[in-house]
Amino acid sequence: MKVLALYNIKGGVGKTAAAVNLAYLSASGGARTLVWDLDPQGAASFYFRIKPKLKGGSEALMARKQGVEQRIKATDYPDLDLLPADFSHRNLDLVLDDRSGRKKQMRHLLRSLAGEYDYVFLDCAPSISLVSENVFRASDVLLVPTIPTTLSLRTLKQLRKFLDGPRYAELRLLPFFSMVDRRKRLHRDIMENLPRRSDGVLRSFVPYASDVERMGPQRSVVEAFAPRGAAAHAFRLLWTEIEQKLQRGSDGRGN
Amino acid sequence: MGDANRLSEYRPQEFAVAGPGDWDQCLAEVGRQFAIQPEPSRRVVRTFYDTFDWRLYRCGQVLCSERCQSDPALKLVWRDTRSAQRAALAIAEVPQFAASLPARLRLRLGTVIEPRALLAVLELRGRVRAASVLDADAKTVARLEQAVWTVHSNGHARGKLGVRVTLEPLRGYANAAARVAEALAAGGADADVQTVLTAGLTRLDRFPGDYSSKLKVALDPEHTAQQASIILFRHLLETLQRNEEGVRSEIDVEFLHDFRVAIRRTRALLGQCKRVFAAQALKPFRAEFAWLARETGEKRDLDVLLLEYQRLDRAAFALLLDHLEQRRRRAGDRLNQVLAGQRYRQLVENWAGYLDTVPTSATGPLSDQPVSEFAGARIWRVYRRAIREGQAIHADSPSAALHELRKTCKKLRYLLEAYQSLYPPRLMVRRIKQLRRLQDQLGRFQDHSMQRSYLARAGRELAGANPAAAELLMEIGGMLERSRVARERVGAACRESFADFAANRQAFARLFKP
Repeated sequence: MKVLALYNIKGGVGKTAAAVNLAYLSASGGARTLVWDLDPQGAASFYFRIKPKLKGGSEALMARKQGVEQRIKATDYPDLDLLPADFSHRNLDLVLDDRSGRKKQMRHLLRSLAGEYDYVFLDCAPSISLVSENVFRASDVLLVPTIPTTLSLRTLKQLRKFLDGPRYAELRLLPFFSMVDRRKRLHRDIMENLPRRSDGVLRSFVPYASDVERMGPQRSVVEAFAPRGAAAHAFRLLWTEIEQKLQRGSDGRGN
Repeated sequence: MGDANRLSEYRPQEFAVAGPGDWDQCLAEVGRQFAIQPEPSRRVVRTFYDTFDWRLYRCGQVLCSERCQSDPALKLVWRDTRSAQRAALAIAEVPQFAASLPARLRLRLGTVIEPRALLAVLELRGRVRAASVLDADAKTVARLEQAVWTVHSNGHARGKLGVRVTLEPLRGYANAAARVAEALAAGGADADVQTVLTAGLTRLDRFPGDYSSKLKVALDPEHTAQQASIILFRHLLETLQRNEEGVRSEIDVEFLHDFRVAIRRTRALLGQCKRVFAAQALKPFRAEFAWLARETGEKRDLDVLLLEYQRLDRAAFALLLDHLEQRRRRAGDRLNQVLAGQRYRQLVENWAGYLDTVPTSATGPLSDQPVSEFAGARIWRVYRRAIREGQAIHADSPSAALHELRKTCKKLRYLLEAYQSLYPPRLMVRRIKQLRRLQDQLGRFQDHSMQRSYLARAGRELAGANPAAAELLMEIGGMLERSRVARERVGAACRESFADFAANRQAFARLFKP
């Protein structure tokens, strides 16, 4: 089982869109897939038409064992399940702090699902907190959707620095450009000039596309309602590249 | 164990509905609480698969292929009835063996079915109407499938099943599923029905699990030794005949294995039944079954050997593998000739005839002995022989001694299995388990001996025929040496295992000593 977290301290960068679309592609390729909606806003749950409600809130969920199993819901798509969000996730770090092994709880919880799923996508809330540290410890891969602006790249650098060191040696950082608007000069410049290879940014990127915005009213993944659009195409390329990287095995951060 | 019970509440539920009108009624009831999104109806061919001995069924797995008339794509649908996990996979053709299962299923089902072939056990053709049951957010909370099936076999229709409805719950929506089930019942659907597999098989005069290679015969302790023996012999003859076709067509290697085991069990019982039937009456049958056993031996040995050597590098061992495969083909042809021949037909006819006409009046000194006494005495005797033989074996004993012990243990095992219904199940299971541990070691010893014999012969024949076989011969030499060392180790393990087995003497005595 591989755990992939969609993470960025900034909000509105396309984490959730990427999480649900990549998860859908994973499942339609035959891999048993779970999306864990960690964002109290519950956008992933909304896209899947599943109520963002957990019986007993974050507390009951983190009480391990039956906590998770009883709360997973099947989406409308085969082999794709969702662990819905709950508004109590706004205080998830308090719940985690209250228990022993405060940084590893998510990891333990996910381990109990190892036999059931091939991929788990964590749709993270935009923050840096105890929840994020749990995510870093629990994940095999950190997918970081990054808008190609100067400030975003700066944030990415900060993240890289934070993750440098033995504690997160097993975690692969795979940033990719998201909400790319080629009409904007800054975006173009950054995309063309960034020595991407050395920074480990993926070649595939997600364009700013109205299809992604339409996911809201459609309450569906782009592949389902606009399979021939640029967004669907981009997610397919992105997922292919991610899968290839996973198969090639870990060689440290970046490539 | 991770996925065991938790998902079991999401098992699909089957219902029967009296007629199409009632289906509309059911939908109306469901429609009171949920929205329904129907799919266009389609004509479907759904075929269920399992091994000849129902291995998938026995561990709660269901595997079927599905093809729509309107769509050439073939789907393989798997369901685990114990955890309600399922998968629907696109395939090019129906897999026959574990190796050709799609990767996702190979992990789960490969070891279950290996080395048996998947056979079509039931073919259904019909019109299927599926529908999604939706909540207020237009989220699917359950799926319904209504179907009118006709059972097909060998290209002919063999009967219709009534209108059937399957409710498939979705994970996390158990409450919704329960409400849909209630609504169906309110609409007239009957939940107390057999599964479609069972219902369909009934049309073919079969039922799931109707073949087992295990000797599970219920004997009445009031039966006489003769009555019980006839029941056992008949069961074994039936097993023999049921496996014939699979042996002839070489569907998979287990058909011949089960065929031979039926012969061995028959011979073991014949050996014990001398005073249960008329003096000398069994002698010709013993001789003929011995002949049949000899005729089937080589093909089985080569099946086992080639299965074992599957993992060898094909390129390096081509000469050896070709040689062995050629031998196997020839052994298979000879076997098929035997099965098609007069002598075999006569044996089966005569034996069946004898079992039908043995008079119920006493024909041997022990004919009327209650089987419970008879069984205990025979088991105890063979047990003591096994102990005697085993105790005489030491590190320098010739291999023949371990082979003899193996044969005696086999006889003991067959007797324990044949008469197990006469004893408390838990105790019997324990005795058989203890014996099986010893048998496994003895079996390994025998496998090495068998391999050595075939390898040595292959080496000699190849050396003569092919001067370029020098490299291969050296490899074979290496294999023989490794096998010699391994066999010595196994021999020591046999002796240890025997000591463990012999330590249970009291437990055996309590059950069987007359």
